[in-house]
Order: sequence, then structure tokens, then C-alpha cells
Amino acid sequence: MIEELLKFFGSPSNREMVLDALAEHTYLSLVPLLLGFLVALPIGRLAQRVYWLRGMLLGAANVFYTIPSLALYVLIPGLFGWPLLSSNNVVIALTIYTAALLVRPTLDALESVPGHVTAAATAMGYRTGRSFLTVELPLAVPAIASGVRVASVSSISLVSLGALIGTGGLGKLFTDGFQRWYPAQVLIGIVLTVLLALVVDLLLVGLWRLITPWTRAGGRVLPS
Amino acid sequence: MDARGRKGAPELIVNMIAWLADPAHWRGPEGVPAQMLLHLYYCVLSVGVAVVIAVPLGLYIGHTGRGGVFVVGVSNAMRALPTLGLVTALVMFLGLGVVPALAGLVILAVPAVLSGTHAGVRSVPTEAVDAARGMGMTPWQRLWQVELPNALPLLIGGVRSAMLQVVATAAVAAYVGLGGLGRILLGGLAVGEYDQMAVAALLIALLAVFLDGVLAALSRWVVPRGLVLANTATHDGS
Amino acid sequence: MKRLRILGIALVTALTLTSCGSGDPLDSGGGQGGPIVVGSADFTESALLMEIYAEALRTTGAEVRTKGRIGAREVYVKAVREGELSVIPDYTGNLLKYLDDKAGATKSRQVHDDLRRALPPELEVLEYSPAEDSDVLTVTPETAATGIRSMADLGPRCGDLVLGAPAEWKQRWVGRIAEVYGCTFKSIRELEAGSVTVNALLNDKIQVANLFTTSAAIERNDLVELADPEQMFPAQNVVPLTHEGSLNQQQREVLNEVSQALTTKKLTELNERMVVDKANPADLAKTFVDGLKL
Repeated sequence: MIEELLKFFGSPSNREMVLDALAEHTYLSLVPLLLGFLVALPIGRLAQRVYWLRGMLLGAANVFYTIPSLALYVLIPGLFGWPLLSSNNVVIALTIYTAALLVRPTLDALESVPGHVTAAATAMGYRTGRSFLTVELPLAVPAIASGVRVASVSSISLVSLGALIGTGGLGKLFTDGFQRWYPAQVLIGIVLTVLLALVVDLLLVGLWRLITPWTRAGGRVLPS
Repeated sequence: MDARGRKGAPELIVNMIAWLADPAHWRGPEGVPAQMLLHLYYCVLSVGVAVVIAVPLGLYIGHTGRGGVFVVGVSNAMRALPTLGLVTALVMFLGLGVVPALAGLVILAVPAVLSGTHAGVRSVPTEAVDAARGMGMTPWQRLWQVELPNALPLLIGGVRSAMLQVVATAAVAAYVGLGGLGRILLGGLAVGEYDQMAVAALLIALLAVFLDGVLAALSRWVVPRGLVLANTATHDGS
Repeated sequence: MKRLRILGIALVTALTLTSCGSGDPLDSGGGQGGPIVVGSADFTESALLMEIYAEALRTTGAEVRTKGRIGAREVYVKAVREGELSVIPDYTGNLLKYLDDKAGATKSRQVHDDLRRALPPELEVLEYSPAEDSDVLTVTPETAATGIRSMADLGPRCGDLVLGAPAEWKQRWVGRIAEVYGCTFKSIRELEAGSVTVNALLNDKIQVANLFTTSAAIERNDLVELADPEQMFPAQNVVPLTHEGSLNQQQREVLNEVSQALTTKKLTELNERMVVDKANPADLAKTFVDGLKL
């Protein structure tokens, strides 16, 4: 096995290919994570504030969540009328998936902010928008964080499916490895995908700690 | 031919309907109904196997509280496993066939069911367990009559999310020679028949929505009524 | 709040940086004036030929990018036609058949001539290479021993045999083989071209495999290539398919030289290095092109 590894990484072209694939994979998974979060936030907020919309929004999120990502990779270019080869297809599909996944946790997190805190903000003269951005959202971060962590792991593992339609980051190592019956290359791809998920997860945990210092002061551990 | 996949939604929908209207696509072992049934069979079978593995394990670690952190940690790490890589690797190690492809699907389904079961058991209020103990229930009785029923909503939630992943992934397994709707999708990809790919994608999505609905109904049917009432009460209260 | 803002800025910066690093050549419009974009179909040999073309074009000082494993001919021909790709390796017979369903030519020169006539104005093929890689039906020596040596022998026995072939085979050959050799297989198992198909054949999951003549696996496993007396499969010479005007004279000459140097034997050998020794196609391409002294 070690021998196989040395042989694989002994080739400069292999090293270059793996680095390119890794960069593409990171891009294809992190951009949708950020975009999906930005989409889910206002929807979650809307579901929290407008009670009669809540059921509808959660239902819609659920339906989008059930649509398989591979199906979306294929349907999006047809619906928008652009090339099947574009990496935008993967980005949009995973953005939809991430947003659908995050609506519920965002709503739950915002709901979990104690009523007396928002009441205090209102009493201090904060308008709704300011209260949301400076009081409720920061307090909701820890609960949203666990949702974001699940979403990041999922989208990192889903990106490779794109290899079946030409844009798949590390997924390329799987299709090429399968055609050449090259298990070592496939295993390298699997390990790198899992490592990427792990590193992103650790970075996310670090990030939450950085932006929510009060959770440490109180001795509360981050939600897992 | 050359404009395929470039015309936008109305054109696409017309083409998809035309594809579906062709009776040739509905006949024989490669037709839509046969592939759909095969897809359904793979999904139910692999989620079923995952339930048989993960539910007892989840109940055990949830009930005893032993090894929970480790097992759940490992199963969460398993979620990061890329399906396509997993399935191709399994085929290369175990040979071409239905078993390695289904093994990949089972591995995929286990983490969701396991963490759902574990979270379900852990979510049972301590008062309820204590009350059961006070009533003189044996550990088995506590597990069967208190913890399992109380854990059901989260447990079935885990099964639902496992099912969604498996429906999507069974399409990937077609890449390593499995049948099902993925076959229609990849077949379309190989010859650039975009309409065929889009139809397959749509059918996969519909199957996912359908199975999710079935499990949701199942959940309403098996979850004890008292639990539903209690949950609604706490939700309205907060 | 301040921390949130810093976080926001950091994230956006990070994402912009990553997106620059892995920009998609197709999104940034390859066309005229930009870098040359070489593509490949979704199988190993095409990826190798892509690297060879790219490496050869680099010797002319051009900026060259690759976009590999695009998929079906329907998809990449469109991409070349619209200038998203400047050049892609293809095979004369299959390309002709794709453009003209009724094409009947079988000999290399004739196929190439017909191909030139059949191409739409935006597309052009350069000189074809002597290297040929055509479809070939193969069986194990055991099956051959039961009296199947050619596709004519195969015809009456097809009903008992399972064929393993890429997904496009059905659309392309099912009708033809029934017509020419009276063969209708028991069933057809759609498999990725290459090692998977060979593996399925050796394990008797299929009894007939559609492989390609440059596949190293044929000789290594003593597989028997079935003769094609009626020439159902046309000549398949390797040929660069380009977008009209995307290559200058010098670049076209370089590719013609590459095609000249490439023989069926050489291509088989390079395939073997890739599939058996697991060498990286880009490394092989460098060595090959360096050896040509362009």
C-alpha cells in the first residue's frame, strides 16, 4: 500500500491533478455552503416571524431536500438553458440542497432565543432589524452552527457525484480509477474527501468559538 | 440535436413529455416501470438491512449510555464518505455484482439510522425512565415499553433521511452495473440524450418524495398518540 | 457585530481566492484570442490523447488548457462547434457515423474523405493518424473453443450470450448487428468501457465484450478478437477535431506531426502503461512528445 502511495505521488502530474481536484472540490462545496446559508437565513427568519407562512416554507424546504442532487445537476442546465458542462450546475444544486437543509435548524435556533432577551432589546429601543442582527442572530449562532456542520459534510461528499457529468472535484479520481481498475487512486480520493470534510469541520468549530466568545465564558460547550 | 439542453424550461418540458409518451420506453426489462421497481427494491432492501444493523446498536448504546460518543462520532465521519468512491472501491475489491453495490448503499444508510435511534433514546425524559424503574419494570421492559416508543419520532426521522440518501445514491450504483433509474440516466448521458436524463432525474426525485411521504405516514401511524399530544403541547407552550 | 463583519470579509476573500484558482475554462469563454482548450471524452485513451495534443501545442508557445472527461460525443461535438473547446481527439468512423447515420465507408482514407464532407462549417478534422482503435467484440478462449471465431459464427449463437458494452452501443449497433450478422443478444449489460468490461468477461458475468483494438487487456488475458468479415465496424483512425480557425498553421502542423508519429502499436503500448502500470496520462504524454523533438 505504502509502495502504491509513493508511486502515485511520485508522478508530478498526479500531484498536480490531485491538487487541482482538491481545489475544485473545495470551491464546489464551500461556495454552496455559504450561499445556502445566506439563502436559508432570511427564509428561516420569515418562517419565524410570519406564522402562517411557516408550514409552507418548511414544506417547500422539505421537498427541495428530497430531490437527489444528481438529479438536480442534470435538471438545472435544462431549466436555465445553459451548458451541461458548466460547474455552475453543481454550485446551484448544492446551494439549493444546503439551503433546504438549513431552513429548519435556522428557524429552531431563532426560536430558541429567550423571549425576555428580545423583549429587553425592544425595551432598549432596538428596531426589529437591529435586534435581529445584533441580538438574536448572535445568540442563535451555536444552534445554527450544528446545522451548518451537517450541511458542510453532506455537500463535500456530494460534490464527487458531479464527476458523472464532468465536474466533480475529487470525484474524477473515482471515475478514472474505476476505468483503469486502480483501487489505490480511488482510496486516495476517498481519504482526501474525508480529510477535507474533517478540516472544514474543525475550521467551522474554530470559527464559531471565535465569533461567540460568551459560550466559552459560561462553560457551555458547542453543540455537537 | 445540437440545441439539446440549451433551450430552457418550456422546450425541456415538452421534450420530456414526448419521451414519456413513447410506448417503447415503457416496455420490457429496460422500461420505466421495471427500472422503477428495481430502484425501489434496492432502496427498501438496503435501508431495511441498515435498520436491522443500526437500530439495535443505537438502542444498545442509547440504553446503556456506553460507547455513545465513539459510535456516533464514527458514524458521523462515515457521512463524509463519498458514495461514488465507496461504490467503485467496493466493486474493485469484491468484484462486479449486486452485493458490493448494495453494501455501499447500506454503509450510506447506517449513520443516519444510527444517530436517529441514539438521539431518540437519549431524548427520552429521565423522569419517564425513572418512573418506569420505580414501577418495577425490568431493563427489557423499560427498553420496549418506554424508551423505544418514545424514541420513535427521531428514529423514523433517521430512517427517512437515510432513505432519501439511498434513493439518490442507488442512481450512482448504476455506474457500477446496477439497474434501476440510474441506468436510464447514465444511458442518456452516454448518448447525449438530454431529455432522457432529465426524465430519469425527475423520476428519481418523484420516487424520493413518494418514499418520504410513505415514511412520514408510517411515522404518524406508529408513534404513540400520547407522545404526539405531549409534543404538540410543549411546542405550543414554547 | 464587529466580529461578524470581520468573519464576513474573511469568508468572501477566501472564496474569491479559491474561485480564481479553479476557474472554469468553459465559463470564461475559450474562443478566439484566449488560450487553446483541449478536451477529451470520458474514457482513458481519450484523456491520454488530450494530454498528448496539449503537450504538443505547448511546444508552439501557446497557452494551453485541458478540460477532460466531458462525456458523450453529442456533448463535446457541440462544445467544439461553439468554440468552448478548440480541439479534441476523436475517431474517424464513429464521428462520421454520428454526423451521417447512413454513411457506408469502411476504409480509412474513404472514411476520412466522407467525414470532411459531412462536417458542418464550424468544424474541421486535421490529418488522420495511422493509429486505429476500433470497436471489437471479444470472447474468452473457452468460448472461442466452442466454435466462435468471427462475428459470422456469433450470429446464430447470440441468443444464449450476454454482451457487455458501453451504454451508447445499443443506440449505435443493435440494429446493425441484427441486420448484418443476424445477431440478437440474450441481453446487453451496459458497462463502462475498459477494465470493468474485461473484468465482467473474465468472471463470466458477460460472455461477449465490446472492447477496443488498442486495449492492452486483450493480449494480456489471451482474449480472442472476433473477425468482422462484413466490416460492420468502420475504420477508426485517431483524428483531431477542431473548431474552425482556433489553431494557427504552426499549431496544425504540430498536431499533424503527432498524428503521423502515433501508430496503433504505440497507442496500445501507451494504453498498457496507463491501465496496467497505472502511469499518469500527462506524464506519458510528456515523454512521448519530448521524444518527437517537434
